[in-house]
Amino acid sequence: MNINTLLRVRWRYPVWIISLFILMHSLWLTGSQHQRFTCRAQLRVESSCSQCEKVNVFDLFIAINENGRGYLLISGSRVDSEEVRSNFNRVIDFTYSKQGEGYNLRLNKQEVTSNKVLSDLKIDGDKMNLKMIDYHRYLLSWRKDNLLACAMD
Amino acid sequence: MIFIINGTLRYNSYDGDLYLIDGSIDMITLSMVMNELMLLMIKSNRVPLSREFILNDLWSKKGLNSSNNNLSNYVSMLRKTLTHCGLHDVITTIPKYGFVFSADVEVLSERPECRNSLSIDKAESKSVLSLYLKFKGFIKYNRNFLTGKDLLLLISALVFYLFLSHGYIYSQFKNIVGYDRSFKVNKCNVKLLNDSGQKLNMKDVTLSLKIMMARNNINCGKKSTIFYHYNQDGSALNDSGSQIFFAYCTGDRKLPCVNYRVTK
Repeated sequence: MNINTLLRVRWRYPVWIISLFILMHSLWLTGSQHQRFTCRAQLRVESSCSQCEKVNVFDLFIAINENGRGYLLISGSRVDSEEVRSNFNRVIDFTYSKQGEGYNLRLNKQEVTSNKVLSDLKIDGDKMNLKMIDYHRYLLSWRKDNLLACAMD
Repeated sequence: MIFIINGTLRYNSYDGDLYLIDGSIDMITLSMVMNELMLLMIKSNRVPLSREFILNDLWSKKGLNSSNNNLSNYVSMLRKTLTHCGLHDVITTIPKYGFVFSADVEVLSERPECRNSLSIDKAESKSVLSLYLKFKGFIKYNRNFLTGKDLLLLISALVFYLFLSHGYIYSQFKNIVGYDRSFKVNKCNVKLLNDSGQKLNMKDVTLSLKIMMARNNINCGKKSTIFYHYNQDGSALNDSGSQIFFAYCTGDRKLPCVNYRVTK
């Protein structure tokens, strides 16, 4: 068998391999639409008014589950207008749709409106965005200029 | 290889080209199978070839199937082509056996020829043309081995991929946060997020950052990153009195990013 015959017979195999690779990559793209992960952040809100000096600390835990649902866990302590510090722990469920490496979150509206803690975070709408900022960190945003960086576990 | 047959016909076995030396007819290019058949016959000049031998050499060896009828068709087409070139009766049928090719064959060159009838003088152009002809020859030589099914599979896979990836790629770009700038302040890696589209005064940005870092006792270690969103007006607080965004993420994955917000 000369080299030309060998080349001709084998010419079809790369085509099969390329086709297989393309199909596998396509399936991977489809499969990667829903991934499960969690992301943690701490938020320190400092009031800069002249007559008071208080810091509220919030711990946020975001869980993205595979079924298009997730939850936001907010815990910490806050100082109210009467200078009384209290601890809190709130879970807010949400649904999400994936867009590329980011997620559009839709919070449970009832929980948002009935939750006073969220007013400190200025969360008054039911929409949030979770966008990737680097390979293991996300940026959570809501309203305008409300941003929060979280690190994946 | 290049052959001169009966002193009149020039045959290039590399790309299956036939043309008369006197130029009285246009060049003819044989199909791949006809070219192989022609080469086989020329190499066995004046030697009778059985049908089984030809079928085996042209098809069976390569794992392909063919029939006597198919072979007869190719021989018939080759005969007509050679007759058109003025070579009458060079292929003779041997009843119940096979065929024999009889002609005066002269080997002109062992190497494939790159046709260069354009008389291109420039060396660069020659090499480009040579490459092009080699590529063309390779594709032509191999194309029959890519069956319709292979091509259909490849095209289907490509269409499927484009269909899925179009939405995916679009959304990738849509939902990844871009940095306006990346720089260092006091050994801290800073990534500036600015979606206002306006040019920023970097002196103000740096000063604002230094104030925030000093205020929160931030000393960056290795792989620590600060994400910073700077207001358009450059003030520490924006017009709505809400906050500026300042997040400190250590390289330690177990630790969360600490976000700082200042409110009025």
